[in-house]
Amino acid sequence: MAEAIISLTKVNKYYGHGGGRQQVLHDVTLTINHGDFISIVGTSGSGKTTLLNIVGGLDRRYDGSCTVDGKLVEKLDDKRLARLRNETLGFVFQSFNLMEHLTCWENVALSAFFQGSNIPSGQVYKRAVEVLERFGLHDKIHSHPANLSGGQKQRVAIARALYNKPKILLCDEPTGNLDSKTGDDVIELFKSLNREDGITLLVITHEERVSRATDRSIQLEDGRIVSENTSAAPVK
Amino acid sequence: MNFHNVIKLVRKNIRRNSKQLLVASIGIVIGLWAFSLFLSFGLGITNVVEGEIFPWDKIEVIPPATNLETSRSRAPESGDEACDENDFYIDGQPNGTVDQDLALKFHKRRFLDDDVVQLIRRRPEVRTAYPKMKFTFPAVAEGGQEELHLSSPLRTEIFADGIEPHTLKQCDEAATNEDLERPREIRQCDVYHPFKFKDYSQDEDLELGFCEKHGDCDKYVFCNLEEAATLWVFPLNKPDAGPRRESFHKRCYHAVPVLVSTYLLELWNGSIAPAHGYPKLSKSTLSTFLGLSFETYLGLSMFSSKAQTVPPITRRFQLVGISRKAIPLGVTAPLSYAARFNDYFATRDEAGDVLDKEREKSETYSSIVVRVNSKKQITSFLAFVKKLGFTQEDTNAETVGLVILFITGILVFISFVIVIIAAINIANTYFMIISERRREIGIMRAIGANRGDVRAIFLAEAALLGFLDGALGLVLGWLTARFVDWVIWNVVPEFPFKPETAFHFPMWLVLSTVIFGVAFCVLGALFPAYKAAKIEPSEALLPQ
Ligand SMILES: Nc1ncnc2c1ncn2[C@@H]1O[C@H](COP(=O)(O)OP(=O)(O)O)[C@@H](O)[C@H]1O
Ligand SMILES: [Mg+2]
Repeated sequence: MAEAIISLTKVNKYYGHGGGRQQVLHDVTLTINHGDFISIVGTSGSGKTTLLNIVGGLDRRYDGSCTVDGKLVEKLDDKRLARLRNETLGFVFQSFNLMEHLTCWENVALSAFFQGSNIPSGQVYKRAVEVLERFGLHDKIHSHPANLSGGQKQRVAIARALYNKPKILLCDEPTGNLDSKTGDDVIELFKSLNREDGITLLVITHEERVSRATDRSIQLEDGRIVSENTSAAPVK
Repeated sequence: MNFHNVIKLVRKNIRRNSKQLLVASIGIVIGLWAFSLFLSFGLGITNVVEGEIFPWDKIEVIPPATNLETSRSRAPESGDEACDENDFYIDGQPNGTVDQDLALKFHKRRFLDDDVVQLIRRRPEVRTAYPKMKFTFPAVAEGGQEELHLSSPLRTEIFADGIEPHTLKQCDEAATNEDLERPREIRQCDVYHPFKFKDYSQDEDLELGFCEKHGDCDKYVFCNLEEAATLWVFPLNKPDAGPRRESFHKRCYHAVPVLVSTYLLELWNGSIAPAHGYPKLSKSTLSTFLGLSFETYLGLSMFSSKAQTVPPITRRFQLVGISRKAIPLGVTAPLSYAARFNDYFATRDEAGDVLDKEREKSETYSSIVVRVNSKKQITSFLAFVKKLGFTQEDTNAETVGLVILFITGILVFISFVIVIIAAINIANTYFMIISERRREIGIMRAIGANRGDVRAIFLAEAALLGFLDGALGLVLGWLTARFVDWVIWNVVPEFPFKPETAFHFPMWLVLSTVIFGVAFCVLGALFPAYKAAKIEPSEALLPQ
C-alpha cells in the first residue's frame, strides 16, 4: 500500500473581500501517494494554479488542511515553509521563470543560495553542472537564458527544480509555451524522473497528450474535483 | 545564505539597475561629498586655529586685575582661604605630605614670582610653564631701510616682553639648516645660528672696543652713539654687584637679541608686506630678516606724549629668531633685559629708590605661560589657577572655536539634509525596482527564500550601493579639498596663517562618511525591502 505524500482535506479558497468575494476552491479533498504521476486538468479559471500554489506552500490563505510530506502546510511558519519549498518541492512554470541576468548554472544553483547550511561554492557549481548535463545542456552552462530556445529554457527550469533532489515536482502547464515536439520531450523527461528517480509529479495541463501520459488525471471544474481517471498504465 | 554569494548576487542586481541606481545615488554622493568636505574643512581650520593661532593647550596665567591697585603690603586677606592643602603636595611624597614652605609663601602674596612658577610646574596637568615679563614703558623701533631696500626706514611703536632664554630651543648651524627646510608648522628652532638669545651683560668680557659708527665694531656688535645713554653692566641677580649704570658712549656693545612670533611673521607676510610693498619673509629671505637690527627708543611713544620721569634711552635690537613663545605682536627679549628696563623706567622717590608699588614691575612676572598635557585637564588646571587667586588671559580661542564648531555644525547639518532627501529618493527607486522584480521575488520564494532572505538581499544591495556612494563621495570630497588647497596656494593672495592644507581627513571621518553612506542607503531601502518581503509568493508569481 503506497503512502500519501500530499493530502488535502476540505480545502476552500476565496479571493477578495465582501461583495467581491469569490470562492475558487470548493471542499477539495485529494490524496497523492509517493511516486504518483498525476495531472490536473480543467478549463482556464477552474482553480488549477490556485490548488498547486496551496500544495506548493506558496499560498497559505485557505481553509481546510493540506499536508505535504508529513507537514501541515498551514501550521508552518515562514522559515519552515521556505525550507519545505527548498528541500522537498520543485517548481516548473509555463513561462519558465528564469532570472534573465543570471547564467544557466547560476539559475540552477540559486536554490543552494537559500539553503540553511553553507555549501562550498565549488560543490554548488559541480551539482549545477551535473543536473544541467543530465538534461543535455552541457554547452549552455555559462549562457544566459536569452540565448536559449524554449525547450532549453524549460530544461534549465527543470534542472533548477531538481537541484536539491526534491520529492515532489509541481508543474504548472510546463508544455504550454512549447511546440509539440519539445513538449513531448519534456513529457518523456517527466516520465523518466518519475520512473527512475521516484519523484512524485503533479502536472497541470489542458493538453490531452500530457494527461494521457500520467498515471492519474484529476479534473477540476469551477473549483470542484469532478472526476478522477486512472489511466491504463499500471500503478506500481 | 553565504556572504560571498550574497555579494555576488547583489552586485549583479546593482549592475542590472545601474542607471536607476546611479540617478538615485547622486543625492547620496553629493550629500556625503558635502559632509566629508565640510567636516574636514572644519577640522582643518580648527587645527590651524588651535595649533597655530590659539594653541589649545596654552594658558596664560595673569595676576588678578585688582593687583594693579593693590600694593604688596596689603595683599587681599581672602588669600588665606583661597587654597587648600591639597594644592601643595610635594612630588614623589606619600599622599598627605604638604609642602608647608610653599603653602606659606603663597599665602603671603598674589604676584607671579618664581614660587608661583614652581607651584604651577608641580601640577600634574602642566607640561611646561615659563614666566614672561612685559615692558612697562613705550618703545619705538626704527630701521630696516637698507636691509629691506626701502625708500625710508620703517618706524613703528612696538610692544615687547621678556622670557627666560633657557626656555627656547637655540639651534646650532646644522640644526638651523635642517630646520629651515621644514614647513613652518613643524619648525623647532626658536633661535637660529649664528645668533644667540641671551643676556650679553652677563658675559665675562664686555670690552668690545671703541667706535665712531656701527661699522667700526665687529659683526653683530653695534656702536653706542648716544651720549647720555647708560647701560646695565651686571644683571639684577648679582645683588652685590649691581645694578650699576655706566656710560658706554662710543663703545661697541651687543644688541638686545629679540624674537618675533610666528604670528607676527604670518601677519607680516599675509597683510603688512603685501599692503606696503615690503618683501615677504620666506624660506629664502629668512636670512635677510634674521640679524636685522633696528634702533629702539625706549621710553618714547608715537601715540602719547606723556613724558617718562627718566630720559629715554636708545638701544639696538637685533632679530635672532622666530618663536611661538614670542609675544604675538611685538618683540621678545631675554627676561633680564625686561627686568632692567622696567626698573629703569619705574617711578622713584626723591632718594632715587623705586616706589614700593612699582617694584613688582621689575621683580615679578606679568604672566606665566602654561602648556597643559591634555584638553581634559584644562578645567582642573584653571580651577587651581583660580584658587591661587590668579586668572587666565582671555585669548578668544574658545569663542573662535565655538564659531568654527557652529559653522561646521550648520554645514554638516545641511549635508545631512541632502543625504536624508537622497535617502527618500533611494526609497522611491527601490519601490520601483521591487515592482520591476516582483516576479523574481516570487521565483526566489518558490525556490526556498523566506521573507528574511528577500529583505536581506535588498538591504545588502542597498548597503553595497551605500558603500560605493560613500566611497565616491569621500573621494570627490578629498579631490575637492586638494583642489581648494591648490587654489589657496596658487590663486588666492597671501593672508595670515595661510595653511599648508585647510582640510583634515582623520580616519574616523573617512569611516563615518562610508558608514553614513551605507546607513542612509539601507535606511532608504528599509521600507521597500519590508514591503518586498511581505508579498505573498503566489501573488508575486502572477503573470503581469
Ligand atoms: N490573486 C488572485 N486574486 C483574485 N482572483 C484570483 C487570483 N488568482 C486567481 N484568481 C481567480 O481564481 C480563479 C482560478 O484561477 P486559477 O487558479 O489561476 O485558474 P487556472 O489556473 O485553472 O486557470 C479565476 O477565476 C481567477 O480569476
Ligand atoms: Mg493556471
